[in-house]
Amino acid sequence: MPDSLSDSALMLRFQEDGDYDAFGELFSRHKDAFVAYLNHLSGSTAIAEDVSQHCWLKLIESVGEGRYRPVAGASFRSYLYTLGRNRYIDEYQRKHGESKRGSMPNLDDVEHPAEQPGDSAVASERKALLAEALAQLPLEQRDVIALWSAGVSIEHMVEITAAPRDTVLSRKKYAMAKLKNAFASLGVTSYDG
Amino acid sequence: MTDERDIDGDEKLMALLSEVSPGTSEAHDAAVLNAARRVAEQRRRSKRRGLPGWLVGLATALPAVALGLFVFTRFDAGDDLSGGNIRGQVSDVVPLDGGAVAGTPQLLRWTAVPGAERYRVTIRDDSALPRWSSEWQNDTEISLDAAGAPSLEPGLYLWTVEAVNGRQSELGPYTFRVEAR
Repeated sequence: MPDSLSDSALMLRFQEDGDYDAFGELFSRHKDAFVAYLNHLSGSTAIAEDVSQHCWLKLIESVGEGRYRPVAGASFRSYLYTLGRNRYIDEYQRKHGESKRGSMPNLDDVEHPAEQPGDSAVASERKALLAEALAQLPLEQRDVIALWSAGVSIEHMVEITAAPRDTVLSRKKYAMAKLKNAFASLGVTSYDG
Repeated sequence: MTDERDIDGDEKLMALLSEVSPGTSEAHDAAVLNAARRVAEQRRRSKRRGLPGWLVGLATALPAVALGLFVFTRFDAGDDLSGGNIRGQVSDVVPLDGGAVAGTPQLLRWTAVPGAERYRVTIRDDSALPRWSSEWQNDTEISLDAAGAPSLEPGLYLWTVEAVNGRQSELGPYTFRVEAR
């Protein structure tokens, strides 16, 4: 499958020709970054996988019914991430988050990242600290940081969040400051393991 | 106007963020790719036949996508779970497979499978995402209200019954549509 094909071209090949390999290429391009975004947004790998799977299946469903249409001026990635963001907010934030503190996840629910084989104790501690610091950000700021860490540009963040560019930039600025502050408060000034 | 230079990313913090997320699981990928494979095959078949688009959509409606998630073994009431190939379909289920009910069904019933000792029911929504699972039980019917199942809003649902006797297989999925009372 040529790397040069756009995401939308791959989706149309999948829909029009039943080209499974086209979908496979598209899926491999986006799946890890997408679930990483949802993981940072939700603070839970289980929720991230659930939302991710739901969104991919919705896309496949639309192809099965011949309903997928590229939106002029909007990238496939923005479309996918918007689906994920909306699903997370509708399913988890609105339905289940009402009893929690504001728009923040309950820290007791935040999953600390599993220790990787090569991790030092310091690296593991910093990952856990980062997970907690992320969880304490307001949803809107956490959203922007999650998008940024998935490699989404500011322009696409504007599309996905439906917020003005300056608002997106401000959210990112304040979120970054809070994350750095969370590290600094524990005497951590370097993020290296 | 916000100065974008102030918020240029801290590369190390970004690297740490990327390390925190482990990526997708094999189960996640298999579920998505199985559904895609099934739809791709349907699209190819439909294209060969030259079917109109609306009919293609009908043929590949949601339940078919959802079913692609799972490798189910469907089997007969007369089949024995203890071994051998299992074929056939169960027809004696309540609500009727594909039927409609007004409000959340009060009862789900399935045909006993010789050899099966325990059953567990799972109800999934129209995206095949689990909504509720029962405890393991011996009976071949379950009162949803008594078992603590949630009230189901109008829509299409799939339900499966796991049956266990040394090995584990699955009845269904069956579907029912909840309609407003």
